[in-house]
Amino acid sequence: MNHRPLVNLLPIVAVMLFAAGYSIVAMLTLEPVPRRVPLVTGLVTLLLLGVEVGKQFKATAVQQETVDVPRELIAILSVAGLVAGIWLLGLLLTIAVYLLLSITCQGRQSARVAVPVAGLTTLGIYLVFEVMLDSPLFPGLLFD
Amino acid sequence: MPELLAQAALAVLAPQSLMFLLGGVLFGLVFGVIPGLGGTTALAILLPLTFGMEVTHAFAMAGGIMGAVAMGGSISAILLNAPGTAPSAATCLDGYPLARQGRAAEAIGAVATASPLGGLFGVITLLLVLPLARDIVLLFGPPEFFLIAVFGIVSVALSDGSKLLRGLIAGGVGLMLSFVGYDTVHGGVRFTVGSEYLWDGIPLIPALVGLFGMAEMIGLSIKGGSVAADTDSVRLRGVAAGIRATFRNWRIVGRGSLIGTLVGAIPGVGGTVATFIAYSTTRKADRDPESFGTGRIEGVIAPESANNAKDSGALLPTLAFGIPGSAEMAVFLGILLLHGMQPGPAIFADNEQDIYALVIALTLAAVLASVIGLLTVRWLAAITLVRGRVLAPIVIAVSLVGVYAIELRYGDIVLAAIFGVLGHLMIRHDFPRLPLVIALILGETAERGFQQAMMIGRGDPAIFLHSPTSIILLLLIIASLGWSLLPMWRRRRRHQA
Repeated sequence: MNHRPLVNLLPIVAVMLFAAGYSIVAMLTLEPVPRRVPLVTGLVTLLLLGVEVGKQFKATAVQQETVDVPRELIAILSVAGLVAGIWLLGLLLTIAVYLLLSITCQGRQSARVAVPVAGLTTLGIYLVFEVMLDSPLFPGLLFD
Repeated sequence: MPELLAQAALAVLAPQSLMFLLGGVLFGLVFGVIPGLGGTTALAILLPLTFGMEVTHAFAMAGGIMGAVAMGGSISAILLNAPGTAPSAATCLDGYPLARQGRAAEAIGAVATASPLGGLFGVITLLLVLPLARDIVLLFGPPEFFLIAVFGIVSVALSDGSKLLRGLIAGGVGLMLSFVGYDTVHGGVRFTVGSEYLWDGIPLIPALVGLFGMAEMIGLSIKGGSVAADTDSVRLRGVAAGIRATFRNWRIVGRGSLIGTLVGAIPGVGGTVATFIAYSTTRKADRDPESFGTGRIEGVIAPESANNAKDSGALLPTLAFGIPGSAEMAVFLGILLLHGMQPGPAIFADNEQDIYALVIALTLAAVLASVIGLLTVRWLAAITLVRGRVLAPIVIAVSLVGVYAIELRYGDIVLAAIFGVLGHLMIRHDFPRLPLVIALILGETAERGFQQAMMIGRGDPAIFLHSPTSIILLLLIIASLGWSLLPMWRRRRRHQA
């Protein structure tokens, strides 16, 4: 066995935990007839995951596309930050700040590019949703 | 039917509908050109915007996107050897060699002719089959609905031969998620982890926007760079030669269109398989098959005829059974549901005119996309040079606003983001996303069908063998399992020997 299968096992183990938890909840909280389909689905998925784990243990090292893990973390955390920012500051302000930061920090563009792109996109969102579609955008906890 | 068809045509040809159609075509072309985005992402992003629109306008826009993406995808396949959409990959095989020979315009001319001809063929077939589909659908009761849902999930999960097990796992996870919320047969809520937001189940639209639109963008922001690197080969002389070649090879167009429509109608098999089958069939039938791959115009015409015809084929199971034939159709199903249209037997009776409007929009879009594609090819190719790390945050932000605007619920933003990250991790770890989506859509139908059938049969599983339709469906499930597992078993035996 080598390091590659171990790395590949992590997402499968995570899904296994989810499927196991799901099956236990189905068994403990649902009546016998309503739990039939969810429980069987959970257990069959768990079984398939077991087979996949077995396959991973047998697998030899496979050449995979290298992923820049820090960049991946930044990309995922920036989405999480965007969602948290929207909750706190509302959609428009957060999107303007998110675009500005993403384009300058991740996209490595100068403020001369980032400011108009962020400004025009935010303005476009405001015009389309608030003005044209008359759909009030989430104001955020601080401005509600 | 002719009256409703005429009324639908008038509705689509109204100035406002045409404007939405044109908007959809332009959006579809742009998303088609950019590799990795494609029709599914375009539809997922525009889906929330259709909320509040008239059904005809929403269908005009969706039809515009679906009709145009194929053309856009083939432009980057020919010019950059980077298929904008997966079904356009077959066009790369001879399209790019043609571009390298300085015959890019000829190839694009062939695409611009073969693609709408294929679309027209598919639409005519769809119009002929639609009246029959209504009668076929009425043969379905709870046991048949359970079996067809299982068939849809199984055939999609097994459609990628190299990822059989992972497809089934993704389907299993999708099913588990589909059971979250209110139990429509027995009552009570399940798996909501105490959240009132989940009482109605996992909303489909945020899940689709996340899994397809956002996941691709997260990937693009990690990879960085521009989508493509070079647009030097863009020349626009020789278009007429490509158009002439398409009409000269009408048999190839007919065969490709038929393959596209038929294969497109099989849930989960999808457009990529259709275009490659069309390509390989034409290659096999040719007197000089060895010359394919070196720049044969027939190698562009065949897959392109199938490329647009597949959409009409995929519409059939989507409308008749609520089983999307492809990821694009899964998102389109979201548009139907958003406008209160429930796929199934009633859809043809209640929304016949709207269905015809969609069919007409698809045809017009294919023609319009070809004309606009030819006029804007140089600028469309330039979009692929936009930096991924600039494009991605814009698309992510717009997607989240769109998702929120549907029901004005903050929970939808969180859910779209969670599914976005999940979709990215699935791509990263080589898990197919389509089985998860199909299972998420069909899970409730499958469970309801099963529970109702068991009630009708008083707990006797023989209820699933009570009609010829259910026996045929059972055989289809067994056949699709065998079709996928047999080659694997043979490979293993050969390997052991």
